[in-house]
Amino acid sequence: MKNTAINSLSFQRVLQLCKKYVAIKKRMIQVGFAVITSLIALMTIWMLNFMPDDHRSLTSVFSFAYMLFQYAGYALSSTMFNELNEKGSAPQYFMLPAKTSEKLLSAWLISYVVYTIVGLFFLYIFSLIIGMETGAILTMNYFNEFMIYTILQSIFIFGAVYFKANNFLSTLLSLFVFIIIITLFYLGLKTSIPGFESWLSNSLSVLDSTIFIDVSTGLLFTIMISAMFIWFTFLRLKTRQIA
Amino acid sequence: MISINNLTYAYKKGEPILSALNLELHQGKIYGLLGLNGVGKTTLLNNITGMLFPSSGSCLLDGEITMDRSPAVMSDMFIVPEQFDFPKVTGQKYIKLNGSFYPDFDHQQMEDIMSEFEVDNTKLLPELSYGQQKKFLVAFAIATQTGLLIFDEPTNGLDIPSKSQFRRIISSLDAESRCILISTHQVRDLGSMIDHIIVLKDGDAIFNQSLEDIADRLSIQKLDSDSKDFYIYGEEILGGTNAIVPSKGDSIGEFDLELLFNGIIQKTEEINQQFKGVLS
Repeated sequence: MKNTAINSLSFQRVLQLCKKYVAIKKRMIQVGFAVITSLIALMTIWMLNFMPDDHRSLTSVFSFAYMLFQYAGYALSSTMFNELNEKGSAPQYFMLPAKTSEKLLSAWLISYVVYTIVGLFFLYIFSLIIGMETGAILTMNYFNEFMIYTILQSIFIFGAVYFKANNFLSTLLSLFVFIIIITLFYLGLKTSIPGFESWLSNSLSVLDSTIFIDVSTGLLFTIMISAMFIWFTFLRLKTRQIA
Repeated sequence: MISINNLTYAYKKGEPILSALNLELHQGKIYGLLGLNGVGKTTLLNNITGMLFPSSGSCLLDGEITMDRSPAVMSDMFIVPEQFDFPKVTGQKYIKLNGSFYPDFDHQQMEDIMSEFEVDNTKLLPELSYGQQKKFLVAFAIATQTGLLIFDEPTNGLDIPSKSQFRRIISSLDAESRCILISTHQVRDLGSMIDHIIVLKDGDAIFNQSLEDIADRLSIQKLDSDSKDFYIYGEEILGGTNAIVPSKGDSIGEFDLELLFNGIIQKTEEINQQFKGVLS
């Protein structure tokens, strides 16, 4: 007789799944950390060597580190469901007695929450090392970038379940294709409808003042879009079958 | 335990590999799922375990649909697939990371089977040979204490002593509380492990009988080459024919599973005719 009480959400299982993800990805995390640290170190040495007195070099180095943090986050998110892509490891993942929501929650916790906390901590330490002003990381510019990162991370985690191979590149390519389609659509409208460009420009300035200037609206927009992609990820994970 | 109701599965529309299949698997039995290559054995196992979703019909484990993959269902079944990959962790770490998902996981049994199989669980799993990895997974599967235990081609990749060890371990299990399903096309490897035979062909279970009933209804005899009219199916051997004949109450001794399997594939109707009135 099965104990159906175990069908309810278990934080113990979520924790166990997090440990499993970390153990499986340990090597990848170590290599990734070493590569990023080396790249940042090289960039810092190069910038400080060629522009030692220019304070903009510090900002450039920090922006580079921030960009690496973002891309590494997307790459990590893309690998969270790699086990599903391999015929040999998929059965072990499917058969693991945990709810789909627990598998997704633990993947999201590791690739977004834990990664962001650890990443921002290292970025903060790095900003102190290179002598940037304390709190530089909390500026509006970085905050807006962080909101975009949050949305893109949820898209990459969706791509991790949606695609069956090369998840990072496939998601990246899909984003490019999406941008190209939007651009072509825009160009089509611009050439066929007179006055469209000025109308769009007015509309965007209104949107800009409501969404990206107003922090709370921007935050709400970010949460809604991210939640939507996380929900899509859940649905895809629940209906995913062995290859 | 497992109820398969009108299960149809097709990889391509209009070409079902399983077609309106009905099957019941009960606790306390060890089933041998036999069939030629590509007949749909693994597809059936993947449907049973919820890794594939039926095109129509359903698979239930104690009344719960397996394709929902709920923790209650998943913690009561385990499959040792034919093909598997381990993450780069040691055996000990793997047990630590995965064992806790199974409420009744038996660490002592795991240790005992590992020691019988002579598998070193301090080494990284991917660095073990395929046979050693398989033995580790078999040990883990048994230690989960799940009600349904499925092995897909379990003896593939095992050397001869390991095949014997595997048979010995399966035969020594407390089968009363479990249902064990072993899928293979290597009929000889099953030996005396199983007590029920299911044969898949053309998307359906064309034969589904216990060894006890088979022993009651059929017998295997060595006949002269010129006595073709007296047997259901026969294969020529040195000095005569090894044949399946209707039983007349005589003992059959060790059953030649391979001959029976070939007989079922070639003479399905004639063999099933002998089981009229027997519930599978």
